[in-house]
Amino acid sequence: MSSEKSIRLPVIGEVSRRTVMKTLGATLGVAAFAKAMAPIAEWAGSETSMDDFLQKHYKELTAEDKSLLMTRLADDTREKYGREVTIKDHKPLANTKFGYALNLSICIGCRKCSEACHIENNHDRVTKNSYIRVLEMSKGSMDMEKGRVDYVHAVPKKDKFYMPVQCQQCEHPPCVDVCPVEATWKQEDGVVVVDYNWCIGCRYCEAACPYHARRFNWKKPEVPKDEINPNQGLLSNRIRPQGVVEKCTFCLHRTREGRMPACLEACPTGARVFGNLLDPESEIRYVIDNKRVFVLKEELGTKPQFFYFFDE
Amino acid sequence: MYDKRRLMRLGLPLVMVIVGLILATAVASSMRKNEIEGDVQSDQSKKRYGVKVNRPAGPPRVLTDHKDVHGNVVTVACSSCHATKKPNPALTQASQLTQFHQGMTFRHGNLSCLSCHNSGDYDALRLADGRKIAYRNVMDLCAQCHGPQHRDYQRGSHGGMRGYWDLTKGPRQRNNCVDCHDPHVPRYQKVLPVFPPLVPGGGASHG
Repeated sequence: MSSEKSIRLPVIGEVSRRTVMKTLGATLGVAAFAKAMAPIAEWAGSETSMDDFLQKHYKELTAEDKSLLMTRLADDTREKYGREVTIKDHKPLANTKFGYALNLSICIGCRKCSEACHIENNHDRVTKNSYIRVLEMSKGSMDMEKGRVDYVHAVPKKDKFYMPVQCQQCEHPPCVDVCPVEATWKQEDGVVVVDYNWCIGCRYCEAACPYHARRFNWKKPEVPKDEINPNQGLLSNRIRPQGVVEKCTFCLHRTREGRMPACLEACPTGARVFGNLLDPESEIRYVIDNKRVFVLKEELGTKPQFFYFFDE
Repeated sequence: MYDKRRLMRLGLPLVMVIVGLILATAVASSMRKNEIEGDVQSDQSKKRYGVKVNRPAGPPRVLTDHKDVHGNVVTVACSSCHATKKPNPALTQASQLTQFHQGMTFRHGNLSCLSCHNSGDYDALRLADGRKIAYRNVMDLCAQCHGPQHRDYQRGSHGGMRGYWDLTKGPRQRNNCVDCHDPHVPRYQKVLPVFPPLVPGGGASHG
């Protein structure tokens, strides 16, 4: 016993090689594991939950997955914003292709549409975000790049006309083509949607859009509890997380329930016409069949489903 | 043999009657079925919600500086005063008046007051051919001159609205001409724009 004790000296040579390797291995292993887990550990304190991170693509979700997701998102909103909301998954309507037209002879540039979008779609209050940008244009030019958005004088001003621009829901959307992760796609009724859980925030789509229609959430949207619109769509106006791209969805949470988009209802002059392009009796078809209609940047071949017209 | 023949003589018509009855019932029932289907179809096409167009409640009432026993302001009908005044068809501007309505501005083409107001009944309006028309139906009056706007309105591409684009799902409410256009000064007035965007770089369309 005593002789055994005497040979247990703190000398490396006395410790078995196996023990050393084991200890070394374990230490390195723990260190490597800690390093590997660091990003996830960081998530623990961030806005993105593990559930959000591991969320599957919208198209791969079963009805049950979706209902779990929507419950979780509603819980999130309750926790972070203190508001009860209803989130629904609005499916594209059968035999429906949405079209939107805007009468430039009537639009006065009051920006009520832009404001209504801001409220309806739970946009960040600080950045005053909206999917609609109203351009003040000089008569004689149709170049939207020359339009100005920062006018504050009474409207309509002499020799100016006003052109609100939002997502054109293109038939050939360049924004969809460039998405490296297929987080954005065009649905059967023509609406281009974004899976906010799948978007990686690379902003390629924002760069690809010829109409400057996409917006990026640089920060977590701030919306006062009482101003939150509680009627929300999973692919539309539910409060978006930080770091993802968003866009106009023709208010699919309204329009797929048969209602008018918020920007149309807000228009005081009735410059906006919305409806089903497949219905020959619809108001939108009347405009397309009878008015001198044009689309923005037609030469790009994007085939917008948003039309502009002038009265004769 | 004889019995059998007699049976046939009686039975054949009987069978024919029975078969006939069955056939008739079947045809009738299939016809009724068609009718029911037809009803269902017409029900579906009828099951469209209405489009409510805003209308003035009635002829305008003029406020007075009197109050009734309940403290409500007393209002009077246009005809209260106009019954005692002789109409002047040449009048085109309020500035030509010496009593009442002096402050009014009027910029609506070359019309005079009595182009639209009815000198026979000041609680109603007047069409171009002299027929009387109620204030509630003012849009028909506007439509006499503003045909293209009226046509576009009827086809849903002029005038603000709220509600449902799909009328099988819900109703719609539409503005009246006079909700947006003051009949005396119909041009849509200038407004100050709301909700100016935050544009860090100035004014370019990139935001």
